[in-house]
Amino acid sequence: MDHIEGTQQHCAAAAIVQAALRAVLAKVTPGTTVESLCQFGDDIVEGYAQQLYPDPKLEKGVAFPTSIALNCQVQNISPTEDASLVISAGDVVKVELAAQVEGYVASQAHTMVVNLSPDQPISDRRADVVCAAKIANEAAIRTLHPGAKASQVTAITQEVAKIFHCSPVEATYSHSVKRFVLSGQKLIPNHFNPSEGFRDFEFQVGDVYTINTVMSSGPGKIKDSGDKVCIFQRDVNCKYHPKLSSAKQLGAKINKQFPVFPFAIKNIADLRLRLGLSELVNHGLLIPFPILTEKKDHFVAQFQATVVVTLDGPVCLTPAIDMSFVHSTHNIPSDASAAKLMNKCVDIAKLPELPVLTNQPVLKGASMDVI
Amino acid sequence: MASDSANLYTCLACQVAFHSAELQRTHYRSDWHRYNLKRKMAELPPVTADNFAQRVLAQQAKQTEEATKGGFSARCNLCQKAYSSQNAYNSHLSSKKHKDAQAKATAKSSDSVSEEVAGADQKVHDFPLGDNDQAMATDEPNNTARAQAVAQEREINRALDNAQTEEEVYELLEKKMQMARRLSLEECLFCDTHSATFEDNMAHMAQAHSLFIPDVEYVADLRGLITYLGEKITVANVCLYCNGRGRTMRSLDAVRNHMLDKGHCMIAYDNEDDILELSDYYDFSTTYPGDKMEGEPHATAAMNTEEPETRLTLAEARAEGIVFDADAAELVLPSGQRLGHRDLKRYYKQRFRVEDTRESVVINRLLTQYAEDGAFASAAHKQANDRALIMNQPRGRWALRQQHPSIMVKRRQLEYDAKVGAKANKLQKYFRHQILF
Repeated sequence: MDHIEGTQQHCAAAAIVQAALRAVLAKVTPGTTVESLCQFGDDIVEGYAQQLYPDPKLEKGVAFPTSIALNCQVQNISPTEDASLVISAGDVVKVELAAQVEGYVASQAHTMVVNLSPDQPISDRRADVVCAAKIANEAAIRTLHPGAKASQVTAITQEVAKIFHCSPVEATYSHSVKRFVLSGQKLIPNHFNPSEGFRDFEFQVGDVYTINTVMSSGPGKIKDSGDKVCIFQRDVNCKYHPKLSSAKQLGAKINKQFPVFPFAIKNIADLRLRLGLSELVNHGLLIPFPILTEKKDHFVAQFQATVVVTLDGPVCLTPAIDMSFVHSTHNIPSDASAAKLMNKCVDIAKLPELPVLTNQPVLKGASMDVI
Repeated sequence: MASDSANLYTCLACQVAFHSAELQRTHYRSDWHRYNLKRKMAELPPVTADNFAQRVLAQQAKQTEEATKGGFSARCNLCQKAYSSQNAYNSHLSSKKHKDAQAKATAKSSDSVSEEVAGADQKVHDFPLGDNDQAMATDEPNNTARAQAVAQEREINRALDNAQTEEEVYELLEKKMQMARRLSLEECLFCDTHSATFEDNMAHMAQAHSLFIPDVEYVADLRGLITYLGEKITVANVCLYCNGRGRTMRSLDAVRNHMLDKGHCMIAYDNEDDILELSDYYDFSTTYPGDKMEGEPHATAAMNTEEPETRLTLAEARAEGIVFDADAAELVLPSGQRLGHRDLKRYYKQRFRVEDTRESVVINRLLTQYAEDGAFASAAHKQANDRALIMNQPRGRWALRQQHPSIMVKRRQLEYDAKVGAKANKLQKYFRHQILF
């Protein structure tokens, strides 16, 4: 895969993402606040990027802020300080983050269940949904051969979901990745909606995809949670001159710090600048990423990997992370196409070894004891 | 005696006798006899042969004296009179009329600018007054050579008038070109003044004849230019200002007189043709866009010789490092600051947004701009008003954008309809008969 442009940068970004994701998952303990974990993940990504590429002109760092969703929450949660989201025992915790080096993006998401007694497996609906998401994700990665159709990914996701009595979450997509473009024009829906229509396409050598599988133990219908939106992205094609001075200053700051990739509003420390946020959003300068949820008593699991399509088949940039101890009562029948796919091996890209971080970030807010 | 006298042949007019008819006949043919005949007619007594010989000698001496006196010509500029003899001129100078005129002229010049005095003095000194013997002596061979040349020139001109074929004309013209006198760089173009150096000559022409060299800061070859102008006057016999458009002149003196009398001591520089004619001696490359500073020292050096004060201020500005940018019509100060004209204030006040050239922004703009265009949007994008579908985008990308595009589109449509209606007078939707019968 060395002939594919930007491989080196992709691998560096993937290594950073891996390191950050592992560090964050290690800190997921009951009583930790979501906000501090998100900040911790971002700090690690930024720290590595700065250490590896000290050139200030080179663009690198966070491509998608560390987002931690609990239980029924789906995605896009990187809350501000005042949010009171605390991880408790038995929660299904989804951590998603992405890093970029010179615009080449690698992103990864992992789901773990906070288990106070690691010897005992978790075997209820949480186990089903985590297993379904993991297997569907691995199976989807294995379909990414040149010439294969995007609809095959949707089909395999649907099939795996059916086996585990789960459903893919609507409005969640796998998508192509281009340089400096986090989610490109090619979309692969997890849940096929006939009314929406779907443009099928073939995978081509050199394409990079973020395979994002999101499963729900419920029907997979989502709605806007109504919580304050915390992740925004600047729309580079929108030309509007803000009127409020705070909006002008905020726009200038965003243009400088986060020109193209999504950012969490918590990273803008000045509270006065946040006053201008609504004007920028109302006039389309910023695109909000709303917080989506499933119904309260259901669980959502998410796995994500960045995959390069090569002549020899898919090459996974972000190798899988060890799973939580879960045990599902459902089995994949051996004649299912997912089973055949899972028997195949998938190539893992050779990632560069990262040095030890000189400025080790500290997780703020000591974990509280929760019984 | 009687027989002697009977045999003698006599001439009554001269009162002489001859022994033979032959001698008498030769006598009748002589000048002496003719002279006496004329005297007899005038009832004067005849002169003897000796006397006649003396008279002839005296006459010859007189003639030679007159011949030597023939070169004299003088002119009194004050009284506007010309004299061909020394005596007449001397008597004029001592006359009361001349002295009055001289007194008047000196009174006038004393209260006018001193330059004019110098000019007048110079003209007075042009005359061969006789008291400056040495000058006369050195001028004399020159004068005869010049007179010869003038005569020759006149001859050629006459021949040119009579020339029939083209070849003949060309031949004569070539001959004239070779013959024609050339002015040296120290000689004035308009009068006979001979200065010590070229610079003095230029100063003289500027002061005495008000010669102005156009665009002097761009002159590349001033000596060449003056030589060329001199040849125009001496060879082509053309006035510098009329430049061949006026009446034709045939000698250097005619051209000089014309230029002095008409006040044409200036260089034609109005027409494009006139400018192009002199373009060989100019270098305008400094005014071309691109190379601003090149050739600048040359132009200022040429300017120092004779330039009005207004130009010098520009030169001073240059010396201080202030440059005029002709393209932008701005003055550039040494500090790099640019001064514009206040008429263009409204443009200077405009501030343009600098285009973002960061790679990330440029690539993102290119790759995502088509999503804004309806033709390129997917089905989900097109139904952007459906809230459920808005969220059906990766990471909820299009949420909360639903209202703005539709309102804008609707307003644009209404404005367009109104414009078309107003133009075609079709705003009236419900029709009724204009006239009810």
